[in-house]
Amino acid sequence: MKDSLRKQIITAVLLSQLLLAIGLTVAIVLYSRVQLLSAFNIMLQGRTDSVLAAIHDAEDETKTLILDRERLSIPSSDLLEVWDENGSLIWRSPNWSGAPSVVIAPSSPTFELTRGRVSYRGIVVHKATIFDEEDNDPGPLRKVTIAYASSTRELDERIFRIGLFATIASLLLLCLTGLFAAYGISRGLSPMQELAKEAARVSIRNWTFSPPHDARKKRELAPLVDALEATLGGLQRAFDRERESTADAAHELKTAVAILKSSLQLLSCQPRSTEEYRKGLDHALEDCDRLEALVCGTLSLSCAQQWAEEGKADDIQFIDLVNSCEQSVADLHALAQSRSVELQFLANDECVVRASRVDLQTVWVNLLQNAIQHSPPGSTVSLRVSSSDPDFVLIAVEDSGTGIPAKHLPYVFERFRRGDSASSRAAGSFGLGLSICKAIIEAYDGHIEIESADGTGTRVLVFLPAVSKVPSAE
Amino acid sequence: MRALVVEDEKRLGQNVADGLRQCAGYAVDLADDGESGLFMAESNEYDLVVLDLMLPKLPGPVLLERYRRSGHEAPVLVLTARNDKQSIIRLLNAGADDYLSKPFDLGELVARAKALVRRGKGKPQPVLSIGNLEINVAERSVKKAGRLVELLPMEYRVLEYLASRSRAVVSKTELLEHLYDYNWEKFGNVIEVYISGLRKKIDSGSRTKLIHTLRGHGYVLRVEANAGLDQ
Repeated sequence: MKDSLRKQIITAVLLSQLLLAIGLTVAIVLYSRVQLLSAFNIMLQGRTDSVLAAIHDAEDETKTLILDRERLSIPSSDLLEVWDENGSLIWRSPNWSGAPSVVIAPSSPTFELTRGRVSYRGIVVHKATIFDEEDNDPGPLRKVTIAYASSTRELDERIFRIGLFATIASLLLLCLTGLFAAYGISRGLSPMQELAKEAARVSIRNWTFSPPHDARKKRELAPLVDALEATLGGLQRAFDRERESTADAAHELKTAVAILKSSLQLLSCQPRSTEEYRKGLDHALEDCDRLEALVCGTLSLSCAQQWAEEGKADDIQFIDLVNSCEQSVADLHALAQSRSVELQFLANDECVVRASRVDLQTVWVNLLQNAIQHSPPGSTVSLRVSSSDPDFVLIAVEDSGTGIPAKHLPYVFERFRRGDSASSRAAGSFGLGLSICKAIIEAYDGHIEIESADGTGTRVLVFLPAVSKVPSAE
Repeated sequence: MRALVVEDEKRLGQNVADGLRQCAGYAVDLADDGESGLFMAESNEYDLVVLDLMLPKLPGPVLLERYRRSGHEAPVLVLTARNDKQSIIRLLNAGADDYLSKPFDLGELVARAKALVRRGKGKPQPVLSIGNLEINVAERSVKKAGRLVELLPMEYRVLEYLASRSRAVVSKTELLEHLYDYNWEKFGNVIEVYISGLRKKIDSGSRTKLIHTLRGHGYVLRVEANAGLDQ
């Protein structure tokens, strides 16, 4: 069973609501207790006053104070003690053994005590003055001390009831709000669930990802939707590209094989002279060479692409670029001459890069070959090496040939792309050269750019990371 | 018969053209891109078009669609590198008559080409008979009353074309159109030379003549009951 985000959130919400309910109930109980206690105290005060009113002088000479119980109307369960100013007891409830002595001290006006299982709360009034209304000749004012306590059972019950009510109400509300929260959270999370369902539907066979409209509108989900869309789109394009280039490679191979096969079949379809056979075999061999070149090109491209992705580890040396370029120019001298194209090599300084000599040679030869093939007779192809930038060495191959139409320019580095297929097929290219160059250059952390204007020529720029000093290992 | 091969892979196109020339005896024109292919297909009378699909300038399917829309009826044999059924179905529905996927067998291509041409002329059987004359298109052999007749290649081609249109009058221009490729200088009297050669080899010494000339109209290959029209 997997953790459910929904359950987690609902649990968190319910827990917080429960805490809130408990806190609220406690607060209500405490507050009502304070209020009720103060009301209780006022009630006690009132009873004390009525006790005071019931105290008067005795009719006899002693002038002692007595409590007129007939004038007194207090609940019989209440506890009462009255002393005169001399400290002698005037009256004590028969069911009481007296207030605790500490209470009599004037420090605290209230006290609490327990008798049996009943709690009492009482107050002590010190030196209360007696008004004897029947006595027309008031002598000196007499004072008494009254301790009065009443059972708090009713008070406790009321507090308990308030607490009970608050608890039940809280629990009911908790249930209601819990349901509401669960519903709201489920609803709120539904775009995410929809999104997850939609995302789960995507597979290698089916790339269509149509995120629910709600998910896109949510601030938290929108980045996820965007990221998913971008990733899936990119992946799909990569897959499509891969499939396309596999199909392209297969097409090229099939064509090359078809040519070779048809050459041989043509040769064998009727009896021929030795001379005709020799010619036919030469043709078939040419076709074989083409096939071989195609297979080699495809292989070196996939190797170079693997290096570009994983980095090339072996066969890396410190190479003098000027020397490497010079050699390529020399290699292509014959081809250039046969097409009456002048090859120019310009270098201002010694430049060192880390690469494999063979790889770099492949790049220069490819670029120069392209340039020569697309140059009109009498024009110049130049290869320039410059190290004006401290970080990069720049190698530029420039021709003043036919150029590449703007609509083809973005695709020239893709496999099996040809500016104009008819003319370059005639020249025997497969559209692999530039892809190989790009993959090789990228394997050495460089990059390659192409600039071209239709009709005015093409310039290929190669940037390779410069190495500051040749170590002795060279 | 005259065929057009539209193929951008020059070597392959050359081989297909040579195959059709040498093994089927067709006159073959070669176009190496879609645009020139369409232009040639529309401006000449072909008995067969062999069409590659991936062409520069104008893709094969578009060429096919335009060719058919302009009312041309020559059978079209499509060469495709793709083998997926959907694109083949689409091509056949767009007016192609047959297809071969690369790499194909040149012998098969030639055989299919011949079959397509036969069917295109409404003569599905590989042996055409007119009277006691039998022309085996597959073997390119001719028999008269059971005996093999030796013909020059050009004579055979004239006879094959006349037989494929048997009982219809074929003008000299039509013969020239269908027997020579684009690069040939067209001289009308060349045809007359071959016709007279054919007459000597087929009609001489037999009572019912098969090759007839309709003055000002052309030639017809049929068993003629009425000898009055005969020259």
